[in-house]
Amino acid sequence: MRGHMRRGATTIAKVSALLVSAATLAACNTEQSMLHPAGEDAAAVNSLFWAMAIGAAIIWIIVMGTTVYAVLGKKRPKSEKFADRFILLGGVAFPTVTLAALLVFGLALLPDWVRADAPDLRVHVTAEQYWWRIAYEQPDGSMVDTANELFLPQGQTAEFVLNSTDVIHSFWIPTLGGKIDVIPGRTNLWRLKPTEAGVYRGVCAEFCGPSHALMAFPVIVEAQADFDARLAREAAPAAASNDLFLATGCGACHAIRGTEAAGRVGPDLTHFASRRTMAAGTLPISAENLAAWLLDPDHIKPDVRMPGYDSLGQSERDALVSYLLELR
Amino acid sequence: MNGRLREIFGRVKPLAIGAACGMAFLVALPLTGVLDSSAVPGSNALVDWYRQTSARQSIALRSALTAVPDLADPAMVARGAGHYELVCANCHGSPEAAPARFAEDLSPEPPRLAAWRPDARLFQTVKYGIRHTAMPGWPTALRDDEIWAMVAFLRLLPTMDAPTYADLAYAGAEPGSCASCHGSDGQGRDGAFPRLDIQSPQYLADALNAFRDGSRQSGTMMAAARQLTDGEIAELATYFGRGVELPMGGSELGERIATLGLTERDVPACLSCHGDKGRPGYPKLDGQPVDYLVTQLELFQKHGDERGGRFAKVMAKAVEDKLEEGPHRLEPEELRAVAEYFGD
Repeated sequence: MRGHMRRGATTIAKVSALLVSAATLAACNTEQSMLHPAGEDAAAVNSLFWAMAIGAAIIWIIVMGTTVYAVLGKKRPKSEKFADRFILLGGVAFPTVTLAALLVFGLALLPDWVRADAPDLRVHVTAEQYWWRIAYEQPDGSMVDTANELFLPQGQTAEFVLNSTDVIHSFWIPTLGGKIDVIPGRTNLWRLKPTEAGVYRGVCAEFCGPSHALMAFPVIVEAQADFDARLAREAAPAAASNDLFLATGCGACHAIRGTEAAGRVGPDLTHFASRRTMAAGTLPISAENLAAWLLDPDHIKPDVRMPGYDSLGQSERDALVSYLLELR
Repeated sequence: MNGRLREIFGRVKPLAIGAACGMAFLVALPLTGVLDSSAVPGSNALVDWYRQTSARQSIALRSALTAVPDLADPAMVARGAGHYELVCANCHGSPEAAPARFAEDLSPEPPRLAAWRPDARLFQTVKYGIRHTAMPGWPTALRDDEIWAMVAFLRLLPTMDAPTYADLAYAGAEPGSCASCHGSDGQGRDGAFPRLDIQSPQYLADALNAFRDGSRQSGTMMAAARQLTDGEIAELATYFGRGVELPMGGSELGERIATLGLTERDVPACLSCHGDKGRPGYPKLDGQPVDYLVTQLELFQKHGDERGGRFAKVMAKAVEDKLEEGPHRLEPEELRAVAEYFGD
């Protein structure tokens, strides 16, 4: 009796452990999941998904039920007239109506490609192997350059002006809305309206080379006031200049606004240390990760344009790391 | 059917046995010790003939399809002559001097190179050397440009008189010294050799170390640097690394690449590293011979950091594309424009 109870308790424990882990897994996915929408487009696609999933389940049950009934029911054949009608209604009329309804529902979700109304915010996003160049268009037309991290005001429509400099990439923030290809030599426009504050993850969704999977970016949706403050911080010049950084030629590729470093080959580093990730969503920013990156970036991110600086001394690399961490 | 098969087998059988015996003989021949491997000249004329004929025919066969570039450039001849005096003349002699005494004891004895030979065969021989002789191959596989410079010199050697040779090979300096090619103050010579006087001691020491340990690829400079001690490298670097500043300037395209780069193709601005504020370990380019700069850029473009040098990885990421047919990140005319902007 006691053994039986214990076995019952173990089963309950196992099942609840399973449920808990399933719930945790689901929680893990919210920052990059279309099933946890935090934007208008994603919510619409989410509702379409559930309508289709539930509809498909119902239809599947009906079809299976009919099949089981036909095979096991041992009923006599109905009249030929009934069979004709059944096929016409169930096999022609029903799919036509259902698919047409789905088509209308789906087409209604397609965005208006060109919209006359101005967006609340315009962000220029350039995809490059394997990172994202991001520039916020100010009301006066000037740009605030940053990279590999996108921040958006909650409840505002942001328009993305998308370009690529090398191969075809795809811009996708699943939690906020659908995706669009980023094509060299062509400007694509895309609008998203985030509805819920939070931190999400955007990715490149078109294979673009060996480090395609390491081309992501955090997306921070926050209240308008917080966004304005953040944009003002981004627009400000850097905290400090550094002679070693300049002499080593880092400025050939990286811009640090407010210093002589004005390169436009790689990501702008003006406020590098305030970002959540380095190497385009690849690693969290830390002194160890930066040191490893300076030593051998190819090891962390194959085919990356950044050269390794094992040619510098350890102390020089450490000095560069501390400078980069100052750039808040 | 079966009978026919047996008939074919019967006919082939003696041939197969013969071939197997022949192979067994070839394998067994060196095991017998009959082949003479002594290095005393003329000890076995038959073996000499066997090996020399195979060497000659091997070179002829392997150079049959080699395309010969334009070899008329006097700068190539001068570079070839400089290396010849430093390395080759010891064994092959020169219009001025007989080979070193030890060369007479080599077997086969190195020829005096007084006869005309086809350019492609010279290239094949200099690049790969000759097995079972004292002739080595070129120390690096990356520098065909150096080997063609040697060929450009060797094709003139049979008819060259001693004063012309002396002028080409060391131009009044001590034969085989740094100054014989790079000039007494490191100012270069005839547009054929890179300047040293514009560099910092740090850069020159790094470069000599990289040549000496074999990481930077140049047959000529590897041969020169291997003879140096640490102390000599430091001394030479301080003597030649004078930080002389020379003017630069050129086409608008060259200036744009040097100062701004070609951002759309991820080519950074040269002057970010090679300008006045660059690290002392980064080379200066102003006043360097244009052909030298073009060659170095092409090496980085084609071979990336295999070209070697302390900061080769940086240059590799800046220009490398490894695309034989292009499009290149630096197209040939852009590469030349930027070389002309810095170069003399």
